[in-house]
Amino acid sequence: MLKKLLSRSVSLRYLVPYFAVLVAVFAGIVLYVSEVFDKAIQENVLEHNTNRLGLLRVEHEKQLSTLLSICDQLSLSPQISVFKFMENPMEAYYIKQQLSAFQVANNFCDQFYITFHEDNFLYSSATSVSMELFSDRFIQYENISSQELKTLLCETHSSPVLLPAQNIRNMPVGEVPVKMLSVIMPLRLKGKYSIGNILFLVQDSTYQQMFADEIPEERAMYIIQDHQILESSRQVVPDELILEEVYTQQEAFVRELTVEGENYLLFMQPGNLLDIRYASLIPQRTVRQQAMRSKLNFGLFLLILSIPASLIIIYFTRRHILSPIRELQRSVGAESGGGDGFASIRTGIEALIGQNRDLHTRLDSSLLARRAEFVHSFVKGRFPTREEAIEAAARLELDIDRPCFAAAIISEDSAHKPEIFGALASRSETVICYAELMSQEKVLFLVFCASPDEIVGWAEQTIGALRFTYRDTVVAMGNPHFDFFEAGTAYLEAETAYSNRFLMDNEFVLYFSQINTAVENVGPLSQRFLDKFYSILQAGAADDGRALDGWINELMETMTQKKLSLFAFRMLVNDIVNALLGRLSTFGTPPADTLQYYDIFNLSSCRSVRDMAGILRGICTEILRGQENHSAAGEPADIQRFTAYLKENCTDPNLTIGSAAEAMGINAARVSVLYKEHTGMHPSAYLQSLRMDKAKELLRDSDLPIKEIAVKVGYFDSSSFIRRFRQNTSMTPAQYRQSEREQKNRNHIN
Amino acid sequence: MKKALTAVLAASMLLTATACNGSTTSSSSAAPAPSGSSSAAPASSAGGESSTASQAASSDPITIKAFQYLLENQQVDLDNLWFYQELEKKTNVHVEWEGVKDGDWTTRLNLMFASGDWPDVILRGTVDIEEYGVSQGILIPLDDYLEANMPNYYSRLFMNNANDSIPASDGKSYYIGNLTAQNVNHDGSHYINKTWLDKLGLDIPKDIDSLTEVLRAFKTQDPNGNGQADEIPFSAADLIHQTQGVYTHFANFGVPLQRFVYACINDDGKVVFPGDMEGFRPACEWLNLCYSEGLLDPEAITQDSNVWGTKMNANQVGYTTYLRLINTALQPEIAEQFVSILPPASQYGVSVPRILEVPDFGAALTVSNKNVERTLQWIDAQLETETMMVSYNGPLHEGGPIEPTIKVNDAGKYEIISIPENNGLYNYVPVYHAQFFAPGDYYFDIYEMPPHRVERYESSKQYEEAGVLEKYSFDYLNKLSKMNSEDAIEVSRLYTEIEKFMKESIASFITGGVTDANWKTFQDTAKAVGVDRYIELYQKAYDNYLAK
Repeated sequence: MLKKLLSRSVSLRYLVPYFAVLVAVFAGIVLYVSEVFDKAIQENVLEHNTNRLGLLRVEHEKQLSTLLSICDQLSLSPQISVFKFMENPMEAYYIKQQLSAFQVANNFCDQFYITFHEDNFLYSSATSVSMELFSDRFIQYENISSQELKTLLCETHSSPVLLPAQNIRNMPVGEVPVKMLSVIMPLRLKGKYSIGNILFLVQDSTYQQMFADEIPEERAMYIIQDHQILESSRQVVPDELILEEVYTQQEAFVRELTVEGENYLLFMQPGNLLDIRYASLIPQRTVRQQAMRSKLNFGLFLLILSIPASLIIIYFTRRHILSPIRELQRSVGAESGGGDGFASIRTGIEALIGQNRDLHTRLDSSLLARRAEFVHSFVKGRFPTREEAIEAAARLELDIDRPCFAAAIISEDSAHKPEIFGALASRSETVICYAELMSQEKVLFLVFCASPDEIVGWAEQTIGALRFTYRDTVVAMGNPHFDFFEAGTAYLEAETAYSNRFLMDNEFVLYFSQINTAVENVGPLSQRFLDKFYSILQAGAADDGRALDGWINELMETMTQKKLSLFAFRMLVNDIVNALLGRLSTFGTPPADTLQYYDIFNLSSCRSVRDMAGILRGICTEILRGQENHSAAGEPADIQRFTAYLKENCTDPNLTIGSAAEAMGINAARVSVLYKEHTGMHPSAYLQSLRMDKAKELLRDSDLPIKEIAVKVGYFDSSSFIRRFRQNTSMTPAQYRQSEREQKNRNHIN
Repeated sequence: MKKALTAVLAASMLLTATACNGSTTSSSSAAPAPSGSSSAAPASSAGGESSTASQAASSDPITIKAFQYLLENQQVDLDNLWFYQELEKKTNVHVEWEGVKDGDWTTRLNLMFASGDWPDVILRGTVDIEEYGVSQGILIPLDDYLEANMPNYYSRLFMNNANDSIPASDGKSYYIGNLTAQNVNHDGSHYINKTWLDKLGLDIPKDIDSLTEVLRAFKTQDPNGNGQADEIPFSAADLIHQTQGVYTHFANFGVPLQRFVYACINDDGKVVFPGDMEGFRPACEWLNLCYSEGLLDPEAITQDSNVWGTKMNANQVGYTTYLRLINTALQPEIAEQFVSILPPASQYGVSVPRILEVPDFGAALTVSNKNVERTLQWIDAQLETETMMVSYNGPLHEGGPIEPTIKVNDAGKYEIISIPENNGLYNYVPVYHAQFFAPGDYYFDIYEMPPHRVERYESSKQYEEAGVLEKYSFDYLNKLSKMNSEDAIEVSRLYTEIEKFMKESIASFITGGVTDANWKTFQDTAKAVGVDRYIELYQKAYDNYLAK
């Protein structure tokens, strides 16, 4: 239960132990103090009561002394002489006046009467009264008969007689009986001869004042003489018991007394006068109550002290523990209301960790996906310039700005394994990225390196690592390339090498370069067809596409006749489709459904000439449609003439669009706009393509140095020609010439 | 609640005034005012009462300092007394009280006068008017203010000669009187045990001789019938006591002896020493006779009233003097046995000391008072009949601090309904400390006297009609004649000596008898203690009094 309760709140978990400690400390103090208190109070009670009893004794004896002194003075007074009232009434008259002086001086007794032996009268300061009237009517004792009183008053006493307090009906006091103590003292002439007695009447109220304390206590006080209680403040236990106890010892004592199960402390002190004993009785219960009261007071004091202490603890707990916890709860998003603060913080932190992991996973997968996307785009040649490709890669945290690169294809089962990356870890200069080719259960890798050797090194290291775990791992490598525009080729090489895995020992890396089939130089071939295609396009769609159909059929036929290898076929298709798409893009961004034709991966799966023809037709139809849209209003005669002029004079290095327009008598700016509108391309681009076509022709069909060819096709310097050429064909003029020649040779051999 | 109470009080005052003005309709008026108040208070004065009260109430509030006498054994909280709070609302006079207990009164009063820091007003107690009024001039003579500012007081001042004692030796009135008269003219009446007389077949004794015979019969014939010779035919107590002391029996011999002043005015209007009067020696001789024969209580000169009362209640006494029979220390069955008789006369005539109902000190103003008229109006407001009765007896109407303790009865007189126990009245009204001025005729008119007062009144009437009272009154000397301070001090000193001498002499004559020798000694001693000078001083004062 407690555990349950504690688990609900951190504050309770802190405060309960705090308070437990506080309570324990307080309890300890209380226990210690109560132990000390008990003794102190016991001693205090003893001392206090002893003192109080002593005080009573002193006070009472002082008053008794006054009475004794009155007695002595009267005995010694020259004015007082023994007389008989009936014989000398004037003496009575005078004695009244004498007595009034004593009455005034004394505040202890209420009345006093003097009587002489054999006179039978009593005298006070106020009156004379006969013994008979006095004892019969004037005063009536509760416990003493008239006769007994008379005897007591007339007898000769050797020492004072004290009559216990009792109700007395007394004329001067009134009709109602009043409790009074009586003292009869012998009157001695010259202190020797007994001549009479003095009766002192002391009111009980005078004694009660003597017994009274400022703070009323449960104390009973007794004045005892001769086994009789003369006066008492109250009756707590039977008087007999007190009398019995008081007379067990002569000296003062304090003892415990048990009456009817109740414990008392009885104090007794013997007096110095008239053999009177003084006693007081207090219930032990009172002592205990007193102790308890003191303890309670102390406890209360501690309790009051503990309130600020508790408040301080609560304040500091709240401020330095609870508030930070709550802030933590808030910051980790845990609900502060429900349950234990720490538990919710733990839950919150765990949730945060989970979220973080998820985020990383998502980020990682996203990065991988985007890298794969990049890989796809790269091999599809979607980056117009090298810089754009590098920039795109940089966004994916890939620094592909390396001199050479190659494509690799690795069988899927092992391609994801960290060994590949592990192998690269030591090669900081090597950057790889990959894309899963899901449908084909293989992974395409692009490896960017400083040199072809590194590519080989990576490949060897990779297969070594992978083979260690996966026996059937296939690693196929394309040739190293330096130009990013050859990405498509690189992929096809790798693809070809991978496809060749059945023929080669795939325990080793399958290098494209090792495939024993000469790669046909399809470049010139494709260029030829493309040129023709462009002229068909130039001619327009007047023949409803029959010329284009013828062109495609011719291409197909050529391909069939040539018996190209699959790789060559794909390369050819790649080139042609690439060129066509380039053409198509001159009408603006080609639509997505058109781009699908040029998906290198689709082309890779293109396995027959008919497939190829279908793709070409699709693209060409699009191109024609685009062209038609562009020249919907028909090509003005000026544009045709202008085009013809450009064709004729394209080799003139001085030919510019401006000079051509001037020659044709047309405004140069206007012709540019018109030309762009109708052909989709800028006239300068058209001029450039004419010059490139011418250059290709010369490269292919002559041995003229490139420098000369540059001049012949209208460039003043060869470097700008080479740059233009390369932009146009993705090859340098030299490479083109070489490839054309190799193609030629192959054709020749074939 | 308090507002309502004030309204009721104001309304009742207004009605009282109306009743007083409309004297012809007052008896049938529903107003709580006594029917006789119209005659007790002149209409013009009553009208003034109303107007002064309203004037006072509409005036600016003032504060006065009062030096008030208080009974020794009575706790009083003057500041919070309901009566004075209501009075303040009516009069707009706030009082700063300085209460002084009886035991301290004389000392504090003299100290106060000596200090020079005098209060505005001194209330109740006793003040030496000659010293502080006539000689020192600290007290203000009030004569010129009374009629205008104290209509209630002034209307009663001359009733029953109440004003006679007030003017000081210079003839000026320095104080407002305080008087609760009951139309009584003597203190001690003579009573004889009629039951005993009847039992013995005796008549009420008319003269000393027959009295002596009756006493002898009481002594010997066991009239109380208890078979014992315990009868005390003739008892007295306290020798000098004015109601049952031995002194009262000198009246039977034409000597109006009392303890207050050892001088009396004889029928010729001359101040004389009682011991010189003709009947004095015979009186002593007769008392000695009674003593010697055991007729007189041997303790008569030594016992006090308690012992006397015990003997009375023991049915041992046949003849005595006393204040009255009803409502006293006597048990009713004993009191029933006694009848009031005229003092049995001797050949020297009968002369019972006559008392005058002379005002006590009520209030005096000092010269420090800056609001003399307002202060007197404030005092007079307390003397308005209903207010005065309330101040002495408690509330009359519902809505007071306690249930009404007085009512106006069918006879139109104020009548006491109840008396709160343990002097509870003092918690609400000033009672004895109040300002009160009711001469006998006025008081009997407005107040339904309780039976014990009626008894005394009847006795007074009887004594007056029988002509047993002294012709003049010792009170002329005791209260009315004014002496200057010097004379007063001398008289005071002489009194102490004379009293001692007289008491001893009389006690001695009674117990020892009168011989020519001791009579001669008595006369010589009287001279020696200055009786002549004492009488001379009183004669002078009385002459002065008569001269005014």
